[in-house]
Amino acid sequence: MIFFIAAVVVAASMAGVFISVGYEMAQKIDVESEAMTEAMQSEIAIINDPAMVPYDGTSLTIYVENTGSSTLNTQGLFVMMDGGYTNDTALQVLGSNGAQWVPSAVLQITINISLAPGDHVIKVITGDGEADSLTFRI
Amino acid sequence: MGLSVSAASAILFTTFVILFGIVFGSFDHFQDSLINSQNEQTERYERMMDTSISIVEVDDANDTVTLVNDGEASIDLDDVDILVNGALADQTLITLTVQGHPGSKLWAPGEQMVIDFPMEIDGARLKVTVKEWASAYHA
Repeated sequence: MIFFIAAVVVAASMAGVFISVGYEMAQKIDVESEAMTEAMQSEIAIINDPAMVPYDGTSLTIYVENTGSSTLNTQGLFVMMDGGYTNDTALQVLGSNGAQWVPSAVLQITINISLAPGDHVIKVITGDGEADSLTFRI
Repeated sequence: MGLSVSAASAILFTTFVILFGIVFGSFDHFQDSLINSQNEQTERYERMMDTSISIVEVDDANDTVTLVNDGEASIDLDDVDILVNGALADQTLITLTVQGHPGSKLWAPGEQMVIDFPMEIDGARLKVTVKEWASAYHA
């Protein structure tokens, strides 16, 4: 009888551990799957004319279109100008969709920056990790 | 002793069946999501490869630009962006009309589309782009 109870207790304990490990594993797979799906559905493109980017001497305007199939988050957006991080930016989603950066909507990024005449490279990286870059001339 | 081993084996067997169900269910869901996303991405890349536009005529007198869809994919007019002298034009002020199909948002391959500008375009640099998949310039 003692052997029976001991065997059942040990087996049940092992079962509990296995199931909790399996459940954790399943949850991690779900999270990974969601992240992967979102990454594959996300895509952005800078649609500026590289020969004529709006620049008035102090502020530069960049247009970034959501060319993917999922709504993107404008929070956590990174802008790199000529390899350096730029944080003096103002963001505005154009169109009638308010603040939602839905597919086909254009995000206007106004960057307060002083640029010398010549060629420059801008890279925009979303919080989801999607990126696009444009080489343009001032 | 034999009963103890059988009971313990039964518990562990049941556990492994449940465990397999949980993990297999997750893998199945993961695979489904991945396949759907991959199909969507492939479709997007195919559309990108099949999209092409060209400017046919720029009428400075009437401030209109005629373009042709010379690709193999239909274009939704909502996906068309126009830049005048580098600035994104306000789409609510510009009229886009597919020739022969006024009111339609579908710009089919081989069809021409006319952009009617509310401002003077004489001497302006123009860029018409479809999600940056295909672009046409006029300087």
